[in-house]
Amino acid sequence: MNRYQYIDLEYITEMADGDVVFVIEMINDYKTKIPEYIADLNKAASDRNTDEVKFYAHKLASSFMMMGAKQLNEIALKIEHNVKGSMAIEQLPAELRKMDELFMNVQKELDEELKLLNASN
Amino acid sequence: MARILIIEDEDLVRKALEFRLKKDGHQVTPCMDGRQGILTLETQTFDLIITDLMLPYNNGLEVVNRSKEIHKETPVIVLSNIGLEHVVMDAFNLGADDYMTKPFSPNELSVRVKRLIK
Repeated sequence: MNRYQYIDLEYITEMADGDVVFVIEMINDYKTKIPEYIADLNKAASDRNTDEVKFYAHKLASSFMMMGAKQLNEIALKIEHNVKGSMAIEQLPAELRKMDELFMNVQKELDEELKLLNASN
Repeated sequence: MARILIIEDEDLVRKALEFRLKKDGHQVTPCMDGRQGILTLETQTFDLIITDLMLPYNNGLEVVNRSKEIHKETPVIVLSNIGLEHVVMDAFNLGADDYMTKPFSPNELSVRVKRLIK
């Protein structure tokens, strides 16, 4: 039963196969790396560089799924698959704002999980 | 134990791959981009290569192509995201042996690796 609204840790838990230290490391890395990738995506969008937007959205899409952040994954996939087609570059800021807002909620839930994991470890 | 080259630019995915394969008893060499991956496979031998398709500098198709040019018998697994099936077909045409869609199941990874290295 998933206790969270924005993340689902089933995948990383299966990957860890009981290694709590690995899960803690991955959550900490996630909290560091994802904002860097989002910053890269924002820069590519403000430079109106659609190749780079596609590249960073692709990178984010699979990274988001490491913590089961499905809503974030859907936004990244939408950008990746449409930025050179039906999605106008002008639509990107709205999608990126949604991404930022959702990621704040993801971070809160990850912090909550970290507290639980550190207490049990 | 097999010697496995991983070429994946996404840090979290690469770390997860490395963790799982080491847990299965393999020796893992990680690379962060296509250029570093090609340089590594040109200078070392591996029992298996796992490469992402969308990589900086040299993409995964270039990695598969170079790998098959110099180590034809070394199996290659390509990793792709949902929606990139057409690129996977290109990878198969270049000689890739298998593919997995991210996020890959850890158990499926173990089984596919075991099948290719025996």
